[in-house]
Amino acid sequence: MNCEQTRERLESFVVGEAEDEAQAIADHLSTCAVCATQEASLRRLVGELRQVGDAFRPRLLPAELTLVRAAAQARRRRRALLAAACVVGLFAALVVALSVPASARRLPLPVGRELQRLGVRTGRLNADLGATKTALARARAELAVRRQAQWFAATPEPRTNSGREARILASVAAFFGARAAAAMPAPIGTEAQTRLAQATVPGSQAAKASASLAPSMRSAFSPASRLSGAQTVVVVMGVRMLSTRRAIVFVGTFDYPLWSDSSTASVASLLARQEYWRESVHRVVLLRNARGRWLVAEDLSVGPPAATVSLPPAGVSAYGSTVPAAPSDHMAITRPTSSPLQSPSASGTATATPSATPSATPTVTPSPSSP
Amino acid sequence: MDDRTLVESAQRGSREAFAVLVAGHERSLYGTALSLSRSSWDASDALQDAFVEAFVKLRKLRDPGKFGPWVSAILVNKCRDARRRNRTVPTDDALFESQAYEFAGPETSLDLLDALRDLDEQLRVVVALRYFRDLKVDEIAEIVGCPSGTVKSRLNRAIAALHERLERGHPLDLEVML
Repeated sequence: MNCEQTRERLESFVVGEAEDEAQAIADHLSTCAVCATQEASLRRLVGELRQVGDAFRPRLLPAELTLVRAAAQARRRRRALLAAACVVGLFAALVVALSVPASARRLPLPVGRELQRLGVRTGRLNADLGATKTALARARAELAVRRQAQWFAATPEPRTNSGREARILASVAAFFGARAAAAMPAPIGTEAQTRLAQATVPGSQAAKASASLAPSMRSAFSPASRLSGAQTVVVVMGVRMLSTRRAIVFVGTFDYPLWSDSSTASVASLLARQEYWRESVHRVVLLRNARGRWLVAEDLSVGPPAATVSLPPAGVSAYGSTVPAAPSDHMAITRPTSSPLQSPSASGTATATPSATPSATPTVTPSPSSP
Repeated sequence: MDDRTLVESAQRGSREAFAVLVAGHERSLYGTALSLSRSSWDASDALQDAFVEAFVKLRKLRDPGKFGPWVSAILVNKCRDARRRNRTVPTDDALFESQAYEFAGPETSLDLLDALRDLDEQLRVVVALRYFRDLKVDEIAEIVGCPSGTVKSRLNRAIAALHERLERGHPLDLEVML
């Protein structure tokens, strides 16, 4: 077998498939240094490739799997505990009924009272422990979401398929609407949002801003909800596609006490200053089902962050360049502000693409009362 | 327990047997999917779809010993479908630490994985099926729909390209991928 024939069969030989010709190939390799070098190199590469194929280790997804499995485990545990408690209770009742005379059961029992007192105390301690654990978990979740939100805000957002994005945003709006009677401004990236953004750029007069608000924004606040006395305004900060059927949306919400035409400008002002950070941040994960509908799989609501928002001093625009320096331990919720809100015509639509300009960002700092 | 026994059990309705099959093939299938997809999320979605389809259609598998090539073919089709449906979807895995799979191999493998990702899709698929899934040339030819000779020549081209990229040195860009 010559060099050319050997090289043609080298791959099969290395993999172990060229059984018929293996001896001939091996003979040639023992006499040809060039082919032997190639064979060694190929063997090393194939070995590494096989390592790569086995190098991935599955781990649980944060939302779907962990929560579902934890819930199932908790259910199973509860049932087992309930069954055990029933058995123990029946057994104890039987023992008491059989062993303690009726007259003795009527006597005051200091031990019983003590046990009761201790039981109450244990219950209180357990409740405290549960509350502490819940608070800790919530704080951790808040920190994680805020880190992601910070990254989200600081990274230029790629444009996605507009139809898909619109469907995702509609699902988010419906989700919040159904849950909190929320009203959502037009999604970022639409013409309505562009007009809203134009209305909220610094220097605009309140009346002008009010007049410029998109009709969809106005219609979101129906007369019926106006009577309710409180609104939750949901601001979608953007959508990020994780895969073909998984998207993540960051949402800020704020409660507005009463909606009226005169307060349109105030809402616009809030949006301009992005004060919704102060109220709540949600990270909503959506999954697309087989029918192509986007469904909310996880809503990690952070709630009021117990933080104060350092807004630019009066007279300085939120989009301006003067911003108080954030303290070193600030929570660093920054939103780059030279967004396309200022120049929607540049990209055709007002996207959620924030620039990396570090200036002019409303900074969120923890209040003294925050833990 | 080999694949044949497990598949036969699963075909008789044993979910546990199917779970063992999944556990046995999951890693290499994910590696294959990752080499054919744009992101780890796409890869895990395609893998999940492939396992679901395999579970549903398992009774139609006539030769239980061919489970590996059969599920690989399903996976390749799922990856192709996903790519066809989503030409414009940008992906970004850098942010989210929690992904379905983590890379637990040696650091040198990262260079190789990166170099593999630079190859044409035609070359990537044969490399992944050959070395991640340990399929024979004929089985790969059936999956990709071309003669065995073409598969061999693609393998040789892929190996030459990988050698070249690794020798040239490849900038690590794996934060995007992993």
